[in-house]
Amino acid sequence: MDDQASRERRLEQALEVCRPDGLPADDAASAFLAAEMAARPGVAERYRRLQGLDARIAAAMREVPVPGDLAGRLMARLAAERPAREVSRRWLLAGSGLLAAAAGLLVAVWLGLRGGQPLSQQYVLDEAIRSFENSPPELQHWLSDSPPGGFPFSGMLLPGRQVRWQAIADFVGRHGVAYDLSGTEAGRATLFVVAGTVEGLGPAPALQPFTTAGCCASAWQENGLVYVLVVEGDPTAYQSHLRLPTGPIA
Amino acid sequence: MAESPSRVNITNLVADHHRAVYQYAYRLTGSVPEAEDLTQHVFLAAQRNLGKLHKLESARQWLYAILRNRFLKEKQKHWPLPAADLQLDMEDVPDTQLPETAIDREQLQAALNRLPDDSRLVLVMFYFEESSYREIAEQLQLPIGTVMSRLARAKARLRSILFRAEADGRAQPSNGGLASLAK
Repeated sequence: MDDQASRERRLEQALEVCRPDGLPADDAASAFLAAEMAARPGVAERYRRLQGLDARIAAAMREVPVPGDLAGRLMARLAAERPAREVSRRWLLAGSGLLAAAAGLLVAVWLGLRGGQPLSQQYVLDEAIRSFENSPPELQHWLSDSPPGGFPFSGMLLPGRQVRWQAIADFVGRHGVAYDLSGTEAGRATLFVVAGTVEGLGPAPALQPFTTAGCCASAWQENGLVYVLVVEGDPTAYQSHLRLPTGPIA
Repeated sequence: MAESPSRVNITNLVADHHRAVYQYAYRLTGSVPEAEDLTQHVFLAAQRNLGKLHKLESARQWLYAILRNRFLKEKQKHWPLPAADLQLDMEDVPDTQLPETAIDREQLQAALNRLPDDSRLVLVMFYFEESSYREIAEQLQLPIGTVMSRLARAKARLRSILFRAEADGRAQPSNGGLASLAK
């Protein structure tokens, strides 16, 4: 009697945990269940009904509405954590030297991370073009919800039909946001936005951009942010993204 | 073409997996704020440990593992289970033909919320993650026999709560839900 009760208990467990296609043939519970189903048609029918019910529970389990702005808030939180970690790493390096040198280094790092360290115009242009050329479209993951605060789209540009963005972890040593301005017919275009200042840089994109073999670029600064627009193609393609009809304001 | 590990970055992980991670977190915690907190923790931990992710194909399982570890750490103080929950409760397996009715997602969550944390975890791994009991045992580092009994018990208990809720509502105008399964 005890053996029979134990057998039934083992069967109940196997009915619950064995997936029809999820276990190797040598799995003991699956083999036991298969033997019981072959010997007892009622067991097979019960297993079939349980599998059907499991499928419906699984479908309901995956039905969870996701807040629409979740990705944006996650990226903002992730971006906010980065500077603290960089400071920590630099502090560890500086700790092996003299206290005075370490303190000086920390001050320099602090200023740099706050965007107070000046950048050069050519440096940000070169870095933007390099990032643009090294980021093929198939490896980019643009988001369509609200971008993290602090890196707004520039009013100097035409945003196109849909503004898409992604966080950038390390552009000229800073984090920020890249906006995708690519249209369905026009070539690729990306706007990089990071905190900082560039000495002598104007407050609007140039009408005549810096050009390379395959793309055009221009940099400007607004409200403590550096903007760099990189466009695939010639100056005409570049100018199609500008909101201002005339050239540089600076 | 598979993306090389050097192209893995946190932006891609968020874009590709934030929905699934949040859904998993919601089913485990049962509340939107807790699910958002847990999701945020997962991606912060992922950002700090990105160098440990060697294969892009296993990114989702890696994120799920971070999520489970955090959940377990937070909930550990509530374990072990009370003895009453250790009884195998199989009588609620319906013996009649089951109609093809959908299960309401909120009713399912209400039932999950009434289960102990460890039962909820194995159920979410079984139904949401589609793990086998062997995989669950491996991930949770538990003996296979323990996982088999825990999973069987949790599934039966989940059905029991779902059916009872439907049966209670049967006196009300029927919505064609799970009550009919328990007849």
